[in-house]
Amino acid sequence: MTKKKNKAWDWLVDGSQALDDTMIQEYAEGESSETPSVFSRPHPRESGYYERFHTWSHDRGARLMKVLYAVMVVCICVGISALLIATTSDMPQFGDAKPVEDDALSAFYVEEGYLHTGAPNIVTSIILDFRGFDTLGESHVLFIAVCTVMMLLYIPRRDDPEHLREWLASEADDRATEPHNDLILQQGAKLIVPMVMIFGIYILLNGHLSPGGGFSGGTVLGAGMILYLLSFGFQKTERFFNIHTFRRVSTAALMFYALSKGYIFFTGANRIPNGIGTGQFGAILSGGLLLPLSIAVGLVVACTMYVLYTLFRKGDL
Amino acid sequence: MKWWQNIPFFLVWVPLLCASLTAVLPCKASQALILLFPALGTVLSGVLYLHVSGNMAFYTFPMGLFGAPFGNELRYGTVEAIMAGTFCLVLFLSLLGGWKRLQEHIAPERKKLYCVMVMLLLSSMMAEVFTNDMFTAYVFIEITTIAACALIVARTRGRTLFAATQYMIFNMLGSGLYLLGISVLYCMTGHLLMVPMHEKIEAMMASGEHLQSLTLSVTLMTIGLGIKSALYPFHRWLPDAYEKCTPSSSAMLSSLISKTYLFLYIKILVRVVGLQHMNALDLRPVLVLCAFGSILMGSIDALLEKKMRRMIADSSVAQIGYIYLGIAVGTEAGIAAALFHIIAHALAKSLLFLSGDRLIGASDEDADFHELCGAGFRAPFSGAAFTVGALSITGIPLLAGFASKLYLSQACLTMPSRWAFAGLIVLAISTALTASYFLITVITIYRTPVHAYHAPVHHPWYSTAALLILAGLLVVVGVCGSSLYTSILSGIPYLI
Repeated sequence: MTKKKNKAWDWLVDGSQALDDTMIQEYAEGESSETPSVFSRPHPRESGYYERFHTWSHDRGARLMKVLYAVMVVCICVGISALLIATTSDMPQFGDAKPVEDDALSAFYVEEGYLHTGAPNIVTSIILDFRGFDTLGESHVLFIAVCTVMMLLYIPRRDDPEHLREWLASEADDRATEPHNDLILQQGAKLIVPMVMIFGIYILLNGHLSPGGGFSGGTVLGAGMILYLLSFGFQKTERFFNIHTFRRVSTAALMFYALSKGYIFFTGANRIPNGIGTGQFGAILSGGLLLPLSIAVGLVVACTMYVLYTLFRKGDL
Repeated sequence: MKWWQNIPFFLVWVPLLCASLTAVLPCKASQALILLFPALGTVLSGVLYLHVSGNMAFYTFPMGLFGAPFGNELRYGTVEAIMAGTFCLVLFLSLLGGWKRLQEHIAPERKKLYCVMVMLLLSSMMAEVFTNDMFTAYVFIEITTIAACALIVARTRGRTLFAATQYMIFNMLGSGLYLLGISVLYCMTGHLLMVPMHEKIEAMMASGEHLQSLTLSVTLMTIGLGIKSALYPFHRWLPDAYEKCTPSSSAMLSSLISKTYLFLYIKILVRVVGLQHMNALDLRPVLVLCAFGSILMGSIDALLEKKMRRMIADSSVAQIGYIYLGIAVGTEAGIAAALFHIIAHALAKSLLFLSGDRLIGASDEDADFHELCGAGFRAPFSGAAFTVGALSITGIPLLAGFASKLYLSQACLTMPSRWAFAGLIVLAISTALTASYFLITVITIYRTPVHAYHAPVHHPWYSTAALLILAGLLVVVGVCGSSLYTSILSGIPYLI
């Protein structure tokens, strides 16, 4: 019996003795196999049984469970994969028109969709018009994700010393890994960032005419902002984007989105004319509400990307 | 379209609209809004119920100019109105009942974010109740899941971070499986709306084509929603998640969030797959066995727990097992019994979490059972409310739990004799186990205290009133259970 075990044994027999700190330490570091728990003074035979079971469950039992766990994981994963692959052979072939040929759904979207929305891009008209409710929910998924991350990681700038210390520590920690005025990075960013931003805006504004739209354009804009932040640091970005800007921009965008979709839903269901025309087919200002909605979605997505990045980086904007 | 037919739309849309607003409003205003909206929602659902209950019909609300099958749609009848009303009411009472603890537990800078979460939770629950579209349901499931994680971590203490991470991993797996199920189904039917999907499934069942894919997708959705609603053997995330968060969050998690997933699952089985096809897909044995496992293991786990809130949390697993048993019966009576049990359990479990926390507050925090001795005398209202909740969960006559267990066992008798017999035995064993752990707790809180305690925390009158309303509702539902049950049963044909 090793020295460690002797110590545990002494403690077990003399239950009144307080738990040894080193033992707890060893247990926490996984060196000792004894569980520090509190028992009243046991009968010698009982403690003998305890010893045997205890060493087994922490020694061979644990190893056995590990092996069993690994085997189970592999079996379940392989089994589910095999089942899914086997089922694909039962599903309709790729490109098979049979499941959709006898109903008018796809035909309506492709052949008549643009008459109702005035937009050449069918995808945008489906996600923002026909199934606009899903997209409304989806943009709130982004919002709630940022709110949750903010709940966890945001370090508020408050006056009490503990928070101030935490905040200063996060600032210092951030400075430690940030490249200080890296010339190559800054010159590159000066060239690239304006182009990225303009490209993002282009995707955003042409979402109803060509491939693109709110989600993709917003992602490009967010990436541009992150690149700018990476090369020039927080001092520059804080001048135009802080937590209040984020709250105002995303709230305004989401409320505009929810209000205008609510108006469309309500008037549509109640058969009230909504007074929104589709405009000239193919023009930039056409497609009814598709363009403003794309912009709203794009703003939400760009803000979300940027804020998630900064929150994970130092817990502040 | 009559004016009241717009109510479901407003129940979904107004909280969604105001969710982003609560992030910029002053804290007091946001907190007023999260109390106001569930209360208004309850009233509006009541109005909706009064209008739809008489007429044997269902109504649709197209989201936009194009209804089914081109765009999203809401659809509602008696059952949806009852469920929406219950969820709004329980949300309101859970918030009110734990209001003081909520203010204590949540850091000032998080309060507004907590309001955002509650608002989005309300909206997403309403959307899941009313939607007629599989993918909309998925989008709002995502919102519910993230909101639930935030409700857990809002009070960062002890194991909440661990519990929330565990909750998130399990629930993301559940969402993923549900999404996989939808995509397989979409591949075969080419629709996302529930009713056109059902027509395609009927045609497939008639011709016997793609039966394997259909079984797989229904299984994936069952496992996905089973993980999310803590069905045995996917229930290990539950006690940690429900234990350490603030009592209002525990009440919401156990009596609202898992229940919306269950209601959605019932809707999928009834409206998309069709109850008559459950046997062809071999769904019943799986559901019955999982339900038995839930009922027994949940009760045994609860019996072994040393902490009160963990015990209440574990008993949720058993109660969810009852609901799955009702679903597994696969008749209209079984579904009605399951829905009735959802209501009875939502009321009782929120009551237990809120009053149990107040009893712990009147003793030592993090106390074992024996520390609770005499807590019923130190906090008399909470003790009485806890007793009512515990008796209801156990299934004592005149309370909601008795009525729901009665309807469940009646529904069980319509199954093939083997299953019916097994079901009744499991119900009996579980009732005995539930009685043993809940009645022991009730006796403990009325025993002589082991030592002197500090003065109990004072709770405002409206929190106590919320607890008493919940206890009163349990009695009302228990006494007038038959009319509620008949109402649900009459609405089931229009759920299809």
